[in-house]
Amino acid sequence: MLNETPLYFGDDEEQLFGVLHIPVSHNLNCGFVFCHPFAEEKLWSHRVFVSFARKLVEMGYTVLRFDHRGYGDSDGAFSDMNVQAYVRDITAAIDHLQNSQQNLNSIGLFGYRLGASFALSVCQQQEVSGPVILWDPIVDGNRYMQEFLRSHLSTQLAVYGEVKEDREQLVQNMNKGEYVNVEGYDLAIEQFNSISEINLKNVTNNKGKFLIVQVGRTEKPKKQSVDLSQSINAQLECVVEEPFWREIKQFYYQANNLSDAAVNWLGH
Amino acid sequence: MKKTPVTFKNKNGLTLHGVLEQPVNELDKATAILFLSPGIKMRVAPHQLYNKMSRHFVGLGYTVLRFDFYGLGDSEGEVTEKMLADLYRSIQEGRYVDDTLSAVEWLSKEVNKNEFLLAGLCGGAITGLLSAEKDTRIHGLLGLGIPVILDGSNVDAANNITAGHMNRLQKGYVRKIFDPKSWMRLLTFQSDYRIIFNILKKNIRKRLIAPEAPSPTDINRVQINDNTNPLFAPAVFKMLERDAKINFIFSGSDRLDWEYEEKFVSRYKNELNQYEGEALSVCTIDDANHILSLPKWQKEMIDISTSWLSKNFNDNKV
Repeated sequence: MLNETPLYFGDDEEQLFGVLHIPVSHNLNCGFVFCHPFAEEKLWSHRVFVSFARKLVEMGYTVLRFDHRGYGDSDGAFSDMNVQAYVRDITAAIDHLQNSQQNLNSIGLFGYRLGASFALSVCQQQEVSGPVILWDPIVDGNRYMQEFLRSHLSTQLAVYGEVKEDREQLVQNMNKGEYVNVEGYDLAIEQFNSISEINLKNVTNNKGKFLIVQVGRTEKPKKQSVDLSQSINAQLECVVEEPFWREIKQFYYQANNLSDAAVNWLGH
Repeated sequence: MKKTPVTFKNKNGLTLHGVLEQPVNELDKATAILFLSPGIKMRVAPHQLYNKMSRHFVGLGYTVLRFDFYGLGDSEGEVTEKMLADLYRSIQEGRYVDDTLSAVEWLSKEVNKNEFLLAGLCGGAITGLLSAEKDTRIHGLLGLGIPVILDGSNVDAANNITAGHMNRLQKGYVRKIFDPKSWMRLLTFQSDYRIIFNILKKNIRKRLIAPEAPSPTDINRVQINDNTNPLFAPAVFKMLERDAKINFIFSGSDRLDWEYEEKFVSRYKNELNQYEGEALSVCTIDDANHILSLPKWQKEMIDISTSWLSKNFNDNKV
């Protein structure tokens, strides 16, 4: 028996779509706002998100999953987004959860990939009262956006048999005010620049309770994960999972190693 | 546009999640459109393709329901397949037909519609086709990149490749002859040798052996020796025979276009003659990829769909 309610919240002009999960049996009076990954990574990993939400709800947590503006069933356009807009959406989701579920004593954040980086940005700007779980946060925004643009080159190769515009030219196009379409997403220079500027190596935060779960092909910690965990005083766990945020041969219904690491850390 | 998040039960009592989108002006077409999820990309489809289409169709006066099948998106239920190809196969064999019929039933009761059009990309399109033969209230199918074949982790795709797809790959390999990186891939065993072998085999066959005899065309006694979905042709003809309308739109860079031509049209040319252009419309968008990622491809697809809708489903609700 699940208690899940789809809803709209936020300001009237641009509403955000979300699903509120409420525990059926025992309630820990602690909530989580889920911060989803970027562009198509959101869709590939959606079911893992849903499964993890249901796992937390089984444990007694309340969960609000939501779509950022320009994603899923929320209003707005992807092309208008930038890091501050993502942060504003997460803040609006925290406010909505707090106002609609008055029993909650604390609200934490859960983010994955770029969603984890946005969650951490929120923690830099306001005090988050609950635990913060970060799966595979993107530490280097510039490198991530360069990878994202590489998908554009792959599309050019597949469709035209050659790369007509390299990454430098694509950035020039954006600088001229044009959108660069990557896998169907219209990327504008503001979003490109603001994400490229993400550098979690410079982040410090001594407030709050953080878990970072590094995802890779081995359990060996990477230097950037160790550095980040030290700078924000987070516990670091390293797990092996396939890269289910993009197209792989397996169907990832849930990410057991990731969710087990989070569940254990939460003390269950 | 009025957007309402909705839930309803499927035949097994699982709650399915969706978004109902309705026109707010006086326009109210008699036909309601149901968008069926493609693969695992839920009710929005890649890069919100369904949202973009829905916004346009609701603007024309159609009521639209986009929803998630069980085990996918936000809906209840589980998918136990471990490999995507096996999940895709189960969809191609009708896994979500019952969910679609539940959605039709719900829409019929909740918004008082009795004429339905199913729309979908890829897995959504084949689900629409297989559902249409089960409910005569379904009057049309808008199928984008509909798969004619069966996937599966045990299916040898390299052995079932179409001539059109092979030609394209061959051109790609010819271009790579002077590329040192490609030679490096070949020599370090990173290339797909089965594809290369098949291209060579096909060329030798073309030069030395007479062309293969065409497959039997009796749609009721399908004898298929390749990966063609045996449910595909009968379902198409059942729709056409009861005068339901079909609009298939393919993408020029997508292997599904060649598969449709070589594994369906070429086998049923005579039977299809009487329906082409009337009950059955087929278009291909030049260069487009499977997910219609570029805005110009999306615009062309929406223009084609709009003109087909206005020709066949333009009645206002009485």
